[in-house]
Amino acid sequence: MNKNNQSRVVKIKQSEHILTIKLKTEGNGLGVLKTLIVILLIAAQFAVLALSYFYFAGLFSSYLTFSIVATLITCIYVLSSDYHGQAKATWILFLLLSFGFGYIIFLLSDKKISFGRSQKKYKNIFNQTEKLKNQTDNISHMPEEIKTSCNYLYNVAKFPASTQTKSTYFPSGTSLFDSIIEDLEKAKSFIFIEFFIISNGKLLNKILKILQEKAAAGVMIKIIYDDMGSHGTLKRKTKKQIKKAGIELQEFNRLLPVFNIALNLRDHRKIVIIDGKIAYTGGTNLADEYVNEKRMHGYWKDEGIKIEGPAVDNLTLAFLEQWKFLTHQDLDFSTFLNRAEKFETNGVVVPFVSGPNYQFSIAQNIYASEISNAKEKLYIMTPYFVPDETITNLIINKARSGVDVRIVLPDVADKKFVYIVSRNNAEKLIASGVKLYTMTHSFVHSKVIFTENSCIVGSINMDLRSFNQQFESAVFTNQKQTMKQVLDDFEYAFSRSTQITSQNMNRRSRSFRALAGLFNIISPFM
Amino acid sequence: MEKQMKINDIDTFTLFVKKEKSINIIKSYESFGWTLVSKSENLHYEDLLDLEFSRPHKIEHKDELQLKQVYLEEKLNTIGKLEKHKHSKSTSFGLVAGLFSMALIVLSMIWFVHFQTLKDILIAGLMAAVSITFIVLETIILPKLIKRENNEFVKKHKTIIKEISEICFYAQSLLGGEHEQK
Repeated sequence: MNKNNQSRVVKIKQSEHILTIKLKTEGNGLGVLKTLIVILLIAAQFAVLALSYFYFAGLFSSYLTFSIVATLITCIYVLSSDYHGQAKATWILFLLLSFGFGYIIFLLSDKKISFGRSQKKYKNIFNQTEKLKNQTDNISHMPEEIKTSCNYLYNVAKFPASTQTKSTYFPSGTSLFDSIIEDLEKAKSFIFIEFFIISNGKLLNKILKILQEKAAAGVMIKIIYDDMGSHGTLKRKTKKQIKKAGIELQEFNRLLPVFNIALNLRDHRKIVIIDGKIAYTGGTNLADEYVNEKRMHGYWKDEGIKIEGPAVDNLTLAFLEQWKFLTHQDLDFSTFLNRAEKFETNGVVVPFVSGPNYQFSIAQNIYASEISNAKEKLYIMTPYFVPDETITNLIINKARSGVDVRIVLPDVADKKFVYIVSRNNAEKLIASGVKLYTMTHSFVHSKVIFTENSCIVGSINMDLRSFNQQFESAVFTNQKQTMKQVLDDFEYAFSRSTQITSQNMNRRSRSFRALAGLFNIISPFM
Repeated sequence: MEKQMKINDIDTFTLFVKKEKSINIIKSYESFGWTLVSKSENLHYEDLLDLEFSRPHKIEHKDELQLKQVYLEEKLNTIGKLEKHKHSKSTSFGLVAGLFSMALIVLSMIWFVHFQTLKDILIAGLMAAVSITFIVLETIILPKLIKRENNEFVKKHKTIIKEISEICFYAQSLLGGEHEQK
């Protein structure tokens, strides 16, 4: 105790909330506060919309007739749209329950309206970059399943397949970022970084130190971060520090307290590109929990993949397209391409991206293709399991055909309601012969799909958000050594997991099943 | 290059632990390759110590060590939970039965004082008898319940300590070279 009584710490005798140990973790909850404020403001706007309806309905009797007609027309539009079945059902339910003003919300939510202008902008950018894309390497000697997937990726969005690019799989965020840091230290001309979450902490400090040195040495550095993913985690002071170092920093889709469904469209990609010769993608974000420096939800299981070779250009171009969309900067893209060395490999590597800026859900379709091609093994690792009926039926049919289908989910939840829906969805498949695993005391953040033919490693969750609402990145490959690394990782995960059987599934309480059913209704928008 | 290598050299973390358990916990973390760097009194709680550990960033089998460390932490906190709820059943039973008995006695006294008819005296007497029965039963059941809880605690505690030892031994073997799967 200070004799002058200036700074006296009053100690509490017993720390009731700490059982035996507690790790010191950073975070002051400001991110949560900001989210709550945004949600409250949006809810308030929603309430204003509802009250306005009742006001106008009271003033003009014909408004009620108008709103009923408008709701009916909207329902017909939804039914004839290309939304998938569950989304249609949820929208119809919402429109009927809120018939007075629901059609206004739908209009604001429809991608053609809320995202139409942006989509045109992207289309212009794609037209400009099309001539810069390489041709697919000769894959005629590849198995049919590989050719199908490669042709799809090339025909839909001009992602060429490369047989001269090598790949390496990393089964954890720790090993991935160790490799990223080593390669960043060797960067000479440019570094492009794109993450959903960039968070203050030990990992960012390490990487920033290198980036500041590189920027001082004249290396061009561009960073894109998602404003929703990084809100509350990337401090304003750090952003200023980054910009002061001569690093270009750009947020994606600024989070505003205004009701706009386009706020739901997030950049979920995780890309690091170094000199156009090396690229990384995967499930990890730039935050301490991804390398288990910070304990949030047990052990954090993640993954990533490194590619070296001409295929890096796929991700470089995708990054530059995103950069151009956000900043309107006129850059000569060709100066960043065709820099990589060519390697002799035994397989194909196709890095690709997907997002609402494309006409088709590339992520969903490539996943569906991968599942369809499985004849012996189909292994899936995902933090969230909220697929649509197409993917679900494909998985069920594969399991019923005798394919060894296994899904690894987290044992620990990060978002309770999504976890309930995921577990419920996955458990329903057990009866069809799917083997479900939950990795003990772990939050499985990996997004990997493996068959005996090929694998996809990236940022794509097995859920509707990743398929329809988020910008994602991944690599499709059938290279033997990478496939072995992925298979070893799955075997490791199985050995560290509990298999969920129909017995322990049946012990679920009625309230769990009721909650799961309720959350399932809104799962198309999760 | 040598200077740049230092960025990745050392990992550190800070732990808040219950004072009486600190020695064993330090030994447990040391089996994962962590070295105690500092030990200090917690700023806010009298029963806690702040421990800071460090370890070389690059070590063999790091992913497996990180996973097993989580298992260790879960087990340590399970012990804490066990200790916290060691006598939860007997405490609940004792409280409920005790309060119920007391309530009945008070009620029987009030009944006796306010209602003077034979029927009411009998009711008051019955309430008192039930209350006394509860007290007697409580004095018989409670020690047995406490004993059973103690036995259960000792059994579970022993199992968890054994599991912690196995985890720490496995971690040491990983650091020592060849390792076995769980």
